[in-house]
Amino acid sequence: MTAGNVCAFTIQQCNPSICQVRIDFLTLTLAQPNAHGSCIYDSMNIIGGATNIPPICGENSGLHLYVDFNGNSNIRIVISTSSDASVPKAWKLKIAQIACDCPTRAHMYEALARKRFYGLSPSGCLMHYTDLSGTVRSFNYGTTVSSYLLPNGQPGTRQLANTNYGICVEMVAGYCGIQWSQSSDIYSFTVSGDTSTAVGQGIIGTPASFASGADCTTDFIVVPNPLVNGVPTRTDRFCGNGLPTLTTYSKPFVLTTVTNGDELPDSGNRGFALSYTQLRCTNIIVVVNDPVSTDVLGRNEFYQVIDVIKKLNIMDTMPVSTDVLGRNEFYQVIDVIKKLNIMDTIHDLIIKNIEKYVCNTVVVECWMCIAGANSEAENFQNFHKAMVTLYNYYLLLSNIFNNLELLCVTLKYRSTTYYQNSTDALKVIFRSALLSQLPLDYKKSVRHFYEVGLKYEENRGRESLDELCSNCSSNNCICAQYFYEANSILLELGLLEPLASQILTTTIYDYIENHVETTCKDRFDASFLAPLQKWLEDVIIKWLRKIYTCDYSNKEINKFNKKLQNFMYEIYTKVRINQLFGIIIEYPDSISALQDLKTCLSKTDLRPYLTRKLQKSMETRLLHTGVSTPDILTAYVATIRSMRVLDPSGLLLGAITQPIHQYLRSRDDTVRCVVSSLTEEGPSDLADELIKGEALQTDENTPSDDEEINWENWLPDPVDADPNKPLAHNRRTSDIISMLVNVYGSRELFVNEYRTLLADRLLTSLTCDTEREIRYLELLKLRFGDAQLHYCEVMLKDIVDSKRITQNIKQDLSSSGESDIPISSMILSAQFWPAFKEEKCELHQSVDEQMKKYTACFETLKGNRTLYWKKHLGLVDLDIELPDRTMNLYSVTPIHATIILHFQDKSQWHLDELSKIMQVPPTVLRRKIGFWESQYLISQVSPDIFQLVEVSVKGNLNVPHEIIVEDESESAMASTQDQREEELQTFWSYVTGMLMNLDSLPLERIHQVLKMFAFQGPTTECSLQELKHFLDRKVREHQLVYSNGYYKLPKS
Amino acid sequence: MKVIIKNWTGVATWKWIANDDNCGICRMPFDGCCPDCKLPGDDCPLVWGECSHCFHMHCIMKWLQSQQVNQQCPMCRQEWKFNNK
Repeated sequence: MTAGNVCAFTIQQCNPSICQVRIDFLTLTLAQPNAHGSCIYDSMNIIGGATNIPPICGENSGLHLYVDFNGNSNIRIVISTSSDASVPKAWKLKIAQIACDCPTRAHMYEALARKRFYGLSPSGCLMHYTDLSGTVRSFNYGTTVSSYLLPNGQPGTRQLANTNYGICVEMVAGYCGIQWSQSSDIYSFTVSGDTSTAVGQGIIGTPASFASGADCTTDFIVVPNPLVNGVPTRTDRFCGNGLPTLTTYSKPFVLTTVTNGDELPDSGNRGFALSYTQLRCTNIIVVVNDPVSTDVLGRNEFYQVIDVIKKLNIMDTMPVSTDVLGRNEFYQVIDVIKKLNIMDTIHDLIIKNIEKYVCNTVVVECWMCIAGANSEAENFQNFHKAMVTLYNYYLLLSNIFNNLELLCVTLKYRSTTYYQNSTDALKVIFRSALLSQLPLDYKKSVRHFYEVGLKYEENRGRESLDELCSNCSSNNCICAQYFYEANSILLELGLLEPLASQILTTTIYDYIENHVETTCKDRFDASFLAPLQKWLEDVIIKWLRKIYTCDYSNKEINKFNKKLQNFMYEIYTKVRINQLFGIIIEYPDSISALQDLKTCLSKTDLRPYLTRKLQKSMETRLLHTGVSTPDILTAYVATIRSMRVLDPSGLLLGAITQPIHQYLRSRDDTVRCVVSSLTEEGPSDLADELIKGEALQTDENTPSDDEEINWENWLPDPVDADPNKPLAHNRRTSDIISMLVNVYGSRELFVNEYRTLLADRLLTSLTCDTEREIRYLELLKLRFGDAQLHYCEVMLKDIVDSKRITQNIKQDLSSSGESDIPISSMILSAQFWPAFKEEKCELHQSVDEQMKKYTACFETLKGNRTLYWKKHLGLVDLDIELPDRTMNLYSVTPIHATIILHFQDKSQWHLDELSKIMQVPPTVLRRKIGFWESQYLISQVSPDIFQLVEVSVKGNLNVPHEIIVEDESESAMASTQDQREEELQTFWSYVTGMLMNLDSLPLERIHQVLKMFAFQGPTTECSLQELKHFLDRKVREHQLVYSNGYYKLPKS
Repeated sequence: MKVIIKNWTGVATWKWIANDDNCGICRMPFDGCCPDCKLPGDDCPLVWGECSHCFHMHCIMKWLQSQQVNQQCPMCRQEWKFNNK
């Protein structure tokens, strides 16, 4: 570009999010302004932005400026040059656009280091620096004079006229102040006045040549609220030809420079180049402690100030004396402070010093006390010591604070920067210092402290005071005193809440838990709710009241009390729930525990927990193979009874007994056990239940009237009830026997089982008490109804009748004189008895004959009726006379009797021989003979040869080891399984008929057809599974062929 | 050795001596009882007709009462006469 031309750039916003442009003058060399300071030769104008920027000329390389965009209009840089080509002109600009949301500081340091982009400059700052220290320059400052001379021959000015801009320094974190000073060049602050004169007088660059305040009217800089040598200057504008070092703590750090429209009266001004350094926040003390200049203050006054400060006890080390100042001195001091207006500084200084002292000394010392303790007692002592140490310091420091407060009040000074309320200030300082340096194990320490306190409190109620304290193990226990002392310190310093309340709460919780657990461990026979409540009130709440003394209103304590009660209930409930299985087993001794639990359940929401827990313990302790069925039943009955106490609605019962039901269903002998416990005096007292119970209601839904009568006692269903299932039904079935019967869900099964058991009992014991059986039968009838038990009635009548008949026949027989074997019999109506186990057995001839006689008698007694003997059944009483002894045997089975009778005839038998005569299979017979072997009456002399032993030679007798004693409890009745088999057999003809006509059929189809034609009545129902078993057995027996899922008859 | 049987209690079932198992009228077993009765045996006896058919007494009586004209055996349609053997 040739001289005299204009060069113009246009900066367009790259996008609407751009707010600012930073223009770096990498090189900007233009002609110097004229003597008036105006850029009339060369000039750079930046226009179109929101920032007003003076025309710039002269040497400005290395400077920068920020321009705000005005909306979205472009910014233009217009550089116009004079035609004077002898003046060098050069420019190289770097332009960066800055987005509006670009951070001003923070991670900008890093970005700046890479010189990639810049942060926004705060508005009003034409230049913006971010370093900790550096140099700022006014436009066109230079180390040489301007080449243009004034009319008087003096050198012209370099300072540009008509400027008013801010130079900002970004405050770095941790830095509170900034210090401005001239750079090394003595001309580095030549802003107004005649510079050459100052040079001539030799005072350039010294404080002697600077002016301030009202003296600065034309060109000056402004630094807000500066201090010179730590003393406020009372002015903020500076001009002239020298600048003292200025320190300011006013934020933001800004230096404003102002020049008027004409620089002519001044000569040789160059502007300024000032070094700045940001000051660390703590430097304030150094500033005051290290006064260099006493220019502003009088020398005496200054020392007075120092004296004051010393008397106020705020120096780094803790002074010994804490005397309040003497009256005279005090007023003297106040005068000085007033005069110097340094209350602000002093106040800050004192607070700062105290903070530092508390942080570095007091707190460290306090926490040191706690460290390293192991035992509870040690911790207790240490914590107390720590608190006392803390409090002593607090008292010491509060003296200073009182002085300060007095000072403030007298001077009517009100600090804005620190604490609003100076009485709390010290506490706040202590609190924040303590909490900011919490040691790792303070919790343990605090916890131990309160535990000891609590223990002591509880023991106080129990033992006399002179007894040994468990903590300090001294006769003269001062633990309580210690405790309350430390506690009141915590309270006074406001530390109780932040430091201890949480730990206190958990300590109390743990303590309650512990207490509850130890109190009601394994004791179910007493109610603990009232004692526990009393304990809580007497020990814990009382203690809490003491701890909080006046701090807490009664309302707060009550609130806490409620919370603790709730917690105690919850713990107690949990403890009881965990013991619930034991409680149930011990019912009814544990009734008070159950009552407690009931009360608790209504206050807590632990029902689901109870259900889960109890089910679990049932599973682990009851419902496994190791427990016999009667035991399970006993537990089950106890459960039902306990649950009735616990929850009259029956809902819990339903949930808890579900698994037991399921399990009982999977056991074969459940029904048998239920029935036998119903009719016998057992541990489960079911018989009693039977006596008091009313009619069984298994599947009736008719609501009873008593609900309407007792409407006042009505309670809503519990919240966890399923609204789809009416509860009335559940309530009804909580009758124990109904529930037991409902385990299987069918009365028939029950009645059948009862019939079998009854038959067994009647046939195996002659002494059977029919009176009692009839009574039970009547009771059962009440529940199961007449129809179901009709058969049993007939059975009992048979027994009674046969006694009478036997009596008759015996008379007949004895009158005819042939009664070598007295025979009696039980004459049964076969149709009404359960099926008998069929065993073939021929009795001894003599007995047989006698039986025939008996039959004949019967036939004459009851016309047209005869008897069929079940020869293997019955009981025989016999005496065996041996040469050396007589054996009396009662209730021997007919087979046994027959065997011994045969041996009476012939003393040695071969097994096969005997088997043939008795028509009993040899294996069975061998088993039966075993009985006599065990009586030492028969011995096996060689394989399968048995010999009667008339004279027992005990000791010498070679008793065979493997005497097989048959198990006694053999039922006379066919097992239910056999009976079932029998029933299924009736279907066989249907099946063969079907297969003959249709060749082959799948299982499902056979079942379907049977369902249609063969299954009539509920008992003859047969499940698919059962049918499959049946058919498969037939396949094994080669009566059926099974292939590809089809059954067919084998081809014959 | 001498075995003295002091008492032998046997178990026996009684049975009607009849030429059939079930009553021809109620189809229930003779050894059971007719539908109106609860107890078998003495309380629900059998009767024989001259035609040698036998029934529960209660059953045949009911039958006979329901016959207005001729009193016949329901099995063989012969005139019903009780066999008093």
